[in-house]
Amino acid sequence: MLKKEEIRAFLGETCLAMMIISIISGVVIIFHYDYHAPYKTTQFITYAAPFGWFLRRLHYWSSEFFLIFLLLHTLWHLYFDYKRHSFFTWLTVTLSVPATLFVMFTGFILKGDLEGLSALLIMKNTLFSIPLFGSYIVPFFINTQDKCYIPFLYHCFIIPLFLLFSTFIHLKRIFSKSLYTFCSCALCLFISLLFSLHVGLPPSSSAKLLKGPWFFWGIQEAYEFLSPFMAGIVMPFVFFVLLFSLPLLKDEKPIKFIFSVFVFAYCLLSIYFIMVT
Amino acid sequence: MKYAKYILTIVIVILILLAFIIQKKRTHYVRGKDMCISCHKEERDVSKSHPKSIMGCSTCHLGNPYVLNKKEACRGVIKHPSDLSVCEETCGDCHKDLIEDVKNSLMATNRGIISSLLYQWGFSPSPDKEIDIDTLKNEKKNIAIDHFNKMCASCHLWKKLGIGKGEIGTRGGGCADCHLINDDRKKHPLLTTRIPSENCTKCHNRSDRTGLSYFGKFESEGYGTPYENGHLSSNRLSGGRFFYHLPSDIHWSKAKMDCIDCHTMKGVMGWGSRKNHLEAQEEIQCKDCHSPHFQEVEKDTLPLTLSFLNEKVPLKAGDMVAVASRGSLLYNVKKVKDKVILYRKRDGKPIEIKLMKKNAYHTASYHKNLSCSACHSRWIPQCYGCHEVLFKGSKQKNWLTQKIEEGRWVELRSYLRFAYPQLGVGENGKIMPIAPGCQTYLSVFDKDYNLKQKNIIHLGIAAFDPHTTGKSRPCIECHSYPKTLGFGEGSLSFDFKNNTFNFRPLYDAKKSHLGNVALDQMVDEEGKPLQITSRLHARPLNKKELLRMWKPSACVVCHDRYDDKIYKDFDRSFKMFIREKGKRCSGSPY
Repeated sequence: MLKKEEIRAFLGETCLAMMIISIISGVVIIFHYDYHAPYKTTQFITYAAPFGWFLRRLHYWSSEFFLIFLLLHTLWHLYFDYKRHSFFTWLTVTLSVPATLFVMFTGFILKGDLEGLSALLIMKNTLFSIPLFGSYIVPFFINTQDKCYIPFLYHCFIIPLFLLFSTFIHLKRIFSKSLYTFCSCALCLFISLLFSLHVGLPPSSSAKLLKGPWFFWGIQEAYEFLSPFMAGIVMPFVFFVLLFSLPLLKDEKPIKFIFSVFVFAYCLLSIYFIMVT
Repeated sequence: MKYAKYILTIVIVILILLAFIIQKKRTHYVRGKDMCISCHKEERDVSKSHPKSIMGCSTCHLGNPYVLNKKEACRGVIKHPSDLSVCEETCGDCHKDLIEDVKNSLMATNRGIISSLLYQWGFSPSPDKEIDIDTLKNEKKNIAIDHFNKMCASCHLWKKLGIGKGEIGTRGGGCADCHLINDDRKKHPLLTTRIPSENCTKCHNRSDRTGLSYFGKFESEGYGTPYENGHLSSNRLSGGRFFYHLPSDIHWSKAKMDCIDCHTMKGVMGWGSRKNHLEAQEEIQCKDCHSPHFQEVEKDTLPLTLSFLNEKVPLKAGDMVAVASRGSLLYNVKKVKDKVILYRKRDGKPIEIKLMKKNAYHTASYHKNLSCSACHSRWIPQCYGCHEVLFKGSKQKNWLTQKIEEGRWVELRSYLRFAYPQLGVGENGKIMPIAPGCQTYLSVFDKDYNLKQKNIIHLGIAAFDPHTTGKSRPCIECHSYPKTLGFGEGSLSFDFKNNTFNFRPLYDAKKSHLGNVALDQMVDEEGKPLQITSRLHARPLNKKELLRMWKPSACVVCHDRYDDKIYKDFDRSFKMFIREKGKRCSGSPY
């Protein structure tokens, strides 16, 4: 039987190792990527650049594992291994969850395919729906000249640097232990050799149904029932405010309960989305 | 666990080696610009500046250029990449500024047509309303917009290429509308900057019909005469129309110049901002070539690029080229020693330009307000009485929405004439040819085909250059013909004591149930306009101008030379005739 510490170490260290693999493989890909022609360069990387196919898969799969392990690590910590931290430390560390979701989302956009650009459009309209401030916020996320320029900045520079900073605050180091690094490397390489990536639809094509990244399926379904502001802004905002506020509360159990309900509902929404589509 | 790291290192090395092996097998993917060519080997280069070896296919047609799977590769491929709805991603990838210009040009916005139509049909107080094809949907629906959508909107750059039958199908498609040559339907069309005039005339053959007149074609009545061996005339235009041969423009008959030899890139493709009417966008004027001033071509400037793309017109840095009225350099009009040479863009053939002579007929102060076309236009097509009939019980295609909608328009006319141009004042204040455009009679039939509404919307005239340039008209034709003055066909007399005109029109509009004004009468005896124009400042001649033109009417019969001494100070000469009663000339009515 694994001990709590071992599970915590496994989830946390693997998460960190995956993040580092993702960052390194991403840095190599950047040299072939051009945000002026996102779709074309993504396809070039996938099909024509030397080892582009492999590095892109490596980047994709390591990022997916990073998010999965980060979520597992967070949930494990919340429900089975919770320790009170200072608000600053807690906030810096837990901010890495929305930051990771956002960096994954920008990665989804940067493919420049039909799904990616549609996701960008949805994000733009959602931000516009914020009362009073919408039009002031949008320019921080979308440039009308080069649609992918600002997501590119977030994806390649701002968020990765924040994640490294957050990791350092968390662990006082940015690399995982060697055994976990080796294991993660081997897993990612194996998966990357085995599974190819979905060929994105060209932006000039059309599709009956477009799906966002899997972790946004719940929100995508919520758009069906709620206004863009409620589904895309209020719902995630409440979710993360609950998470951030834990160290401020004497008794975190009620919040944890609400949090659990939230997570459960979101999972149900995502499953429902898959079933109806 | 002791050896775990070593085992994992070996596993990682093996996996990386596997990646190398797979990569080696995939290297064929890298060859060439894109993989489209592996199937479309037979396709030719679209132009020298668009070689497939460098640009491939996907630069223009998009799709996925790196996949060898047909389904994946061709997904999202755009058949007509220069369509204005997608051209920012295709042509605009390299020609971004031009796309901006073209989208704001009159051929894309149709602003001139729409705003004039709304003004003349009484739905706008001004012909300068800022309303375009892309903003038309925001406008409150009315009968004029319905007419535009169904009758006029098949002719603009936003129209999809290939939609519609015959000539209409060849119109539209954005950049391709002008730049495409479809010489062989089995092969990929070619792109060119040496745009053949046929590409212009496929649209510019109605309304003022300059695209026909320039080539000496006059759209005749629909009788199909003269018959040929028992059949209708073979001189046919699109839409079942017929034409007669008339004298063509001298630039065509003598020099075989195409439209693009005069009409510049900016004049056609616009300046990036939306203009209200043609004259605000067009930049070429007769004097730009016939009384030119020159500027040296500098290195790496647009004229050199245009010459390079044209491939036929020789030009190098340091050459002196003519400057158009709005500052563009005419790269095909060069100063060569003491001569001015126009290089025909189609084939680079040099043609010496005759410069405007400084003779009396050009320098005379009394003609300073004349446009060149006022004297040098030989004829003008005149389409009288435009009968617009709307049958609400029938259906017709809306060219903007591409849907069949209720209400079908039928356009008929009273009669067509070719004649000496009438004169009026253009938007620029110059005296220039003026012709009917459009004299609308509207009849609306309800769903049961009962006449619901019948009224004259307006009688309209338009000032324009008819593109029938030739030798100058004789003096008598302008100064003595009532029609030229704007009165129309009929008998004109002048009461010198009271300084008044007396005109009896030949055409009886009342008996024809077409209102109170003869269709060819633009102005009454008091110089008041009887018909409106499509511009705020364009108009028929006023009383002062009519008197000024009529005054020498009797003199020009004998004194038909500009350098005749009586014209050195005509007002003085005229007073002398009045004062010196004994010296009246035999032809003078005084």
